[in-house]
Amino acid sequence: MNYSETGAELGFSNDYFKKLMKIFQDAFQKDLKKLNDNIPESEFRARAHSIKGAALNLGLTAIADAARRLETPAGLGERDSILDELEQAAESIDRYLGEGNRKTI
Amino acid sequence: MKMLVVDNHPVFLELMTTFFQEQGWTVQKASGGLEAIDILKTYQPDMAFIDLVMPYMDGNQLCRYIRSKPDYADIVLIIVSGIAAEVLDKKTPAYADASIAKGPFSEMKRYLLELISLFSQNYRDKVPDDVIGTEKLYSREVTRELLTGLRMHQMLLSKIDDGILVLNKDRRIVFANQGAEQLIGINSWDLLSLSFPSLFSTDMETIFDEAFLMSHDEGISLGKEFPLSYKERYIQCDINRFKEDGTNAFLVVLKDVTHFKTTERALNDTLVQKERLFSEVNHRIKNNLHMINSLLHIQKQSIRDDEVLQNYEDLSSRIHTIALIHEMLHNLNMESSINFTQYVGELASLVLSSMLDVPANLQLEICQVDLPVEKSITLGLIINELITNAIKYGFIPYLKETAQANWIPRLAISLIKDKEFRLTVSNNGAPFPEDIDIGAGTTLGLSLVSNFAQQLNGRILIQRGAETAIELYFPDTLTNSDSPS
Repeated sequence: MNYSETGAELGFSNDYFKKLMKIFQDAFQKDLKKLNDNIPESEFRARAHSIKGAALNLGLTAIADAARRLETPAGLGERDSILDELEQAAESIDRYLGEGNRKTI
Repeated sequence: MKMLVVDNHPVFLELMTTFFQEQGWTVQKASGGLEAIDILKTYQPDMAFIDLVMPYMDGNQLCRYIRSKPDYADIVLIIVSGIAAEVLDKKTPAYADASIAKGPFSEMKRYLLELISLFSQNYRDKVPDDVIGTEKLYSREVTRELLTGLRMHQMLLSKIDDGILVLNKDRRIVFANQGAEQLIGINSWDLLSLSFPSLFSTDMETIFDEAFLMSHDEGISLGKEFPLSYKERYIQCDINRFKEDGTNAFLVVLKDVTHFKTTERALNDTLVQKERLFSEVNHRIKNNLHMINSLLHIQKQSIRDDEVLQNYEDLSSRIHTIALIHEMLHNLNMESSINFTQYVGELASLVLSSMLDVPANLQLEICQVDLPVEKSITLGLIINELITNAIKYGFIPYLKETAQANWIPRLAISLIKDKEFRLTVSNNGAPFPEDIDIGAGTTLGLSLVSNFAQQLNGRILIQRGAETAIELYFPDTLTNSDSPS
């Protein structure tokens, strides 16, 4: 996914979008860590919902879609593969942010 | 223009804050309902943009809280949520002024500006009733399912009489059901953000401090044994700790136990009255029996016939035995059963001292048993007769006939419980006459013993030897726990 283009489509400058993506990434990684823990289903869905809302705001449609599927009973059945998708998305954002040294969950 | 943004996601707070600042408006942000309530105390916005899904106090609660306060009546409330379309059935609820579905921020900005323009120009009638921006959203059938569950839980909580409260880590109230509202006597919206311990007197704050520290997953219960006094009511308070968003939170259940407490008090009062009455009755019985004995004693003065005199003395002894029971019942804290060891000891000492001029050795071995009054009287009368017999037919003839120096009469009484009870009264006096059959009831005393034994479903045996021992066996169906009423 080309994040620079996504930011531009939303009308954000490159620097401001990077700032937003950094904020998103910090919260996203915390949420992802929690989703991989053994948390109650209600909290699991609330965190998936939280990721989805912010991803929608930033036009991160793939992440928003994966998070939306995690909220569904069918998606809960594919939980591991969806979480893998989200992990890969987080790594891709890391690369975009030029950090590349994201800790393994 | 003054704005307030309430959302638990930092991206949305940043987007909205920057956007409003770019328009030249003042903005404050809160990451949850409780934080928003705190901000409102010193900052009154023209418009508040509130997310629905937030930990602790959600947007729905926050909007209702704001609407319950006349001071905040002018604040325009706009719901901005990813589930606005589902939770609101695509319509803005009465407690809010408009609602926008979360989506790409470029779209949202447009909706926000349109809405703000309408409100600032006071064109409220042109504000759409429907949730704005739903066309760009995914189909969210699942959220609908989740929300149905949530509504069901909220409905259940509203129907429960017990007070249910959720507190954050600082023990501030973030949720209160209708039961809590009624029990505490404060409107549920006014309860929000209050410190829970502050609802109670200061001397109880320490108790609550300890309880919150000790609370764990299984919870801690305050006031189970001794209910807490609260506004002329009695309550029990269960505190359960749980983790919400990684930090401690508390679920508090308040139970109104006033009815149980007042009923318990009334029962206790009745019990005390009953005990007083019971004591008084026993006291009067004892006094009357002593009075009868005194009359017998006066009557005895004029009797010259030894046999009649002996009958009077036997009768007096029997009456005394019954009086002793009632005296003990009166003295022993009005219990419904008496301590049999004490009873037998006092009874035997009394009979020995009244009938013998020499000291006697009394040995007691009584097992631990609490007998009901009725059975105690029967057993006491049997013991009285057996002791009287031992003195009359064992000690007195032996003292007269042998007159041995250093010989001391010895009476042993034992009550042992095995498969059944065994009462033994033995003496070291003259042997029991061979020609007397104890079961035949040849004397009044033995006849009484035989009849009383039948009342206890017991049987009597006599052991003749160096010492005479009379044994009474009776079944273990006499104790308080299983005796027939």
